[in-house]
Amino acid sequence: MGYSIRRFLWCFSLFSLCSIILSAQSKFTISGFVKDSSNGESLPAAAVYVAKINKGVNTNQYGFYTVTLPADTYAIRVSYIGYTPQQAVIILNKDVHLNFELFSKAFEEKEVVITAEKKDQNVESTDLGRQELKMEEVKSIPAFLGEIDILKTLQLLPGVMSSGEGNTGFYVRGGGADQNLVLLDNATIYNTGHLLGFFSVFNGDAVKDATIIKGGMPAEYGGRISSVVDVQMKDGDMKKWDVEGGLGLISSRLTVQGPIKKNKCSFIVSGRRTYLDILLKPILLNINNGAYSHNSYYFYDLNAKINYIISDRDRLYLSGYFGRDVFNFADPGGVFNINFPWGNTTATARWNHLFSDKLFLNTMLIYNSFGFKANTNFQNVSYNLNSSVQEATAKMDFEYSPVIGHLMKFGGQYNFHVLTPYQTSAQAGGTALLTTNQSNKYADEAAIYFQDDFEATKWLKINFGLRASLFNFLGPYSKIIFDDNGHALDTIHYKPGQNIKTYWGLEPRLSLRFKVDKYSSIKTGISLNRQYISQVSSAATTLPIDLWVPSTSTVKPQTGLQTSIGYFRNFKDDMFETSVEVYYKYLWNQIEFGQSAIPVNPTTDVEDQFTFGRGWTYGAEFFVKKARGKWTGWVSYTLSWAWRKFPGIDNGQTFLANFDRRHDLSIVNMYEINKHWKVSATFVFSTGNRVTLPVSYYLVEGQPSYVYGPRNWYQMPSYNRLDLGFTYSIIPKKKKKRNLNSDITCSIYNAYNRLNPFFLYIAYKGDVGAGGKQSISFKAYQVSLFPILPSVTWNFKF
Amino acid sequence: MKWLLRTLFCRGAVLPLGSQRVRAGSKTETRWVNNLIKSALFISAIILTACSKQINVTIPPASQQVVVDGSIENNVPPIILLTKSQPFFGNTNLNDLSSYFVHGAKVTIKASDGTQSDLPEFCLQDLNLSTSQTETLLSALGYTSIDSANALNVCAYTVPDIITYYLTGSCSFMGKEKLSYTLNIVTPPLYSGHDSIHLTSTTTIPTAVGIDSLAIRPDPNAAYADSFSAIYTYITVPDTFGNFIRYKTKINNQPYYAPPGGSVYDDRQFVGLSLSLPLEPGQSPDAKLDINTLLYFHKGDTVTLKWSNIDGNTYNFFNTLENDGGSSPFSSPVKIQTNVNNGLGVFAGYGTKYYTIVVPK
Repeated sequence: MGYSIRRFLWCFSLFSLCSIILSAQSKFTISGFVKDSSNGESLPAAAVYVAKINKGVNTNQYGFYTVTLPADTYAIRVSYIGYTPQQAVIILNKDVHLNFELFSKAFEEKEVVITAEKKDQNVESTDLGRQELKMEEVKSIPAFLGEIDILKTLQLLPGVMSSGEGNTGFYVRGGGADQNLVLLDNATIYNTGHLLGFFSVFNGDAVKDATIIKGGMPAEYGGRISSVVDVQMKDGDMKKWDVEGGLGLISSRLTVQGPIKKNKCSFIVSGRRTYLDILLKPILLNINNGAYSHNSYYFYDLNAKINYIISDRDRLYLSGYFGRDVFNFADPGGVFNINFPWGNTTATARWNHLFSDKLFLNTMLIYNSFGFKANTNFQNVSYNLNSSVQEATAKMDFEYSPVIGHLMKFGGQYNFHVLTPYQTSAQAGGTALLTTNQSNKYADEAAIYFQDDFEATKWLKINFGLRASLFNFLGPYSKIIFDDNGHALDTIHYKPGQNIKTYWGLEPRLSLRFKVDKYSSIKTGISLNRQYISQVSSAATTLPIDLWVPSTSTVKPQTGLQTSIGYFRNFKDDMFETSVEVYYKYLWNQIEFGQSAIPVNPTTDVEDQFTFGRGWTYGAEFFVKKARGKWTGWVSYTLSWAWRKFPGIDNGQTFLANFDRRHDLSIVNMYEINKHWKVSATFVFSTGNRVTLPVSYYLVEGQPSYVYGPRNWYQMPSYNRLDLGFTYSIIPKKKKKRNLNSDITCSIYNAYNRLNPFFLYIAYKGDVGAGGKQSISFKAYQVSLFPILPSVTWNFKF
Repeated sequence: MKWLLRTLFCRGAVLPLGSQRVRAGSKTETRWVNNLIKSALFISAIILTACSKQINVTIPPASQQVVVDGSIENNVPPIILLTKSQPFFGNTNLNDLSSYFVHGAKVTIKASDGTQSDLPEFCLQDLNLSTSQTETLLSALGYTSIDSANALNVCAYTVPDIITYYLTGSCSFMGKEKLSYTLNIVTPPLYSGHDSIHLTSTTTIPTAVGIDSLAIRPDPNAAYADSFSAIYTYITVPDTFGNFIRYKTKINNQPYYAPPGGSVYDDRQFVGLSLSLPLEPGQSPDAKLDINTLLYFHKGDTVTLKWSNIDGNTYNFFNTLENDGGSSPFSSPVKIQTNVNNGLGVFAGYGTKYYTIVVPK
């Protein structure tokens, strides 16, 4: 025990790290990549287990593992869910580079039973609030209108709440929707939704997997305070050509991948487009002499990636995403027309380099943007609006593993942001009416980090990290000064590159895993995070017109402190994974629109309408998952509270956030009846959202005006829904040759047709102005969005 | 099959895009468009069908408050309506005087030049006015009645010689530009056993700057060009911040109405500019909007423009009132900014100039 404590203390000093590095020299390293044998895709988070010492490691995001051991003979076993494990016996007397290619179970003749020594990752690791979703899992769950959606699947996990009916926006542990860092191949996605968020920007065919981290965010991630959703695109098949696609009710998808040079260089291109506009066009042309034929809505996505193995030590990935929503509307009289496109663009270049068998470097150059435009013509008045956020990032991440069970990560990043608030211009009959020159907002951000994950004793594993971040709000910029009543007095101008405001801070984090026995552990953690770019929503749902704003002299960086503790236990040889986590989170510098704010107002700088306050949230999450067998699925239940307190709202009275949900339950079931048939069912129940309803009204100049009650005082009826899915595989597995595959998926959204509340509104009847009527009455209405919605999708792959 | 259709397409789906939301819409062209964007997005989202059903919402009883609906304009006496805020979900009959108007209040007004006046209460039915005078008065208060026998019995606090004003255009106390005015109101308690309520409010009548000129331009839409024209206002905006405008139009003998797209402007975005802007006709809040003619006037109409300079607090009141989007997922409720202490509503000062133009046939 004395030894343990001493070692524990030593490990916190830099000196000890050096000693570990030195002592490691007498040992040898086995390292390499773990891949899928059929297509060469790297397998991240695969388990590499050394039975002799009863220890293991996981592959990193790029499928790379490294194990350093004293000279001896070892059996190395590599396993990954859904794949047949492989074992290799190694006489370790020098450094060994060894790649593993695992066979997917789908191509095995007989069912393989995995003796999963290392499937108990959830119990073993220091990860808290972390969950991984494989695309296969996502595809088995009934999808809304047949559109497979990784973000909606995440919402079925504990602590993750949907922002609304059918919406891809989400809230994690009582934090705002903007506090989630959503990454696609490491590029930030600023707006994750198509069509008001009913569909996510992630095309299921192009995505390999996704990880969500709800708490104890690793130090390599920064810039958001609630969670990280890290989505990785497929790398492209290194061995053979693949064509995969689907015909659905809403959209069609096509993915082509294959080797450019076998086992050396591969590509993947994946596209998706909705076709409601094309299907409706002939109908619209025939209605009212084609008066409505100028109306259309569609969205499309394009994912592309090239993956090049330069050498054993170097690998290059180039990937990109381009997606747009386009809405065109013209009224039949030709008086009014509107066209607005919006969407994300990302480009990522990554270079993996192995300095040695123990030191891995990933260097990234990333560009990402989100933009929204609206071009309207109303009579002879035309009006254009433009808003965007752009970001360029350079990032270096090192991974160093001196000895098995010890992993260090360190690195740094630099971002440059250009945020364009609403820029508007209008013309009447060709003459410029007004132009609001709200200047762009420029900012840069830098961070360095260090993180160490090691086993201090057999029962204690420690992960500590420190991130230091710096943010500068830069000129050129013009600021209007206001008097106490919010009326403009003067304007201050800043020069290009002038440093207007600087923020910096340390973001420490620590998590500990105490192993109770082979199948259970207790984990606890604490982390502090800062967020310099925020989005403030004027509404209860995520919209493309919601602005992202940088920290400025007015807007201070959001800061979040989260602490959580959890008990993790696996049963029946890891067939059942269970966990209970309790969290408490405190949020500083939270942003809301002021009570009298008029959010979409191009004549003011949006930040002048903000009000600032604090938030605190707490809750308990319960999770039971059955990971193997004919029947798989999970139950997740979250009991939570999300409080806010803003001096500028209701005179500082505490209120519950609009997405405060006391109960949130998801039950996910998947059952494989036979080789042809698979069925699935998902049930969700959650406490109703909160809204601010008026409590009385009065008349001024004969018009009703509302007096609102306290913020979010009214709770809407609860939300519940059952979705069903049926998949029929047309080609039986036995006759499968290579990859040939085809299935029909039916899904029924909202199977018992519950009219769930989407929002409430109050309307009045009667009037006091005209017609001599002198009475007025009010009624409340509930709007529900989606009734029972069946859909069919045909998927193919050859 | 019918049941299936009924299930899928919930009948009678009423979307909240009616008068209230559109009224709440917007002020300038820009805001109008922003709301259209939201509405269009929303419509596209619910192509699949949305259902709206009436529900019962239990709203806790809110205590009533006194509402000031008052104005003072250059060369016009102050007119103050005192009413009570009303609970939801009961039919409010405005003729039920005890439940709507506040009677028996003591109201005084004091100008910054030291002059002051008591403002006694007058109820329309006690004035014994002719039908046309009744309509003139109602219209000045923002009310109309096509059936004067059933006219709303409006009660207002105004100068003692208000009748003289309506007969001669002059009276003992009238608004003057560049003066500020303070209202002092003491109302009887709204609830028995409570204290009487003391309200105050101050407003300013800014200098009436007015516009440069009005001009008629043809309607570019050929289908409507025969019967409609546009009116453009030519304005020179002072090159200082802090100028606010409110305008209303009166078409023929109708009352002055605010335009549905919004009646108030902060000239911050136009500082120092000379502009020509299309004038949006005012219309009754209950009238339906016709997108084709929203910005146009009927040929042959006599249009009177009431163009007022207002102070910042008056601007804030109407700006927040006109932008309150209610409770929809795409907007948040806007708390109306009042300039009344201890009450609701507005006491508005107007530095007004009137312009009349006949739209040629």
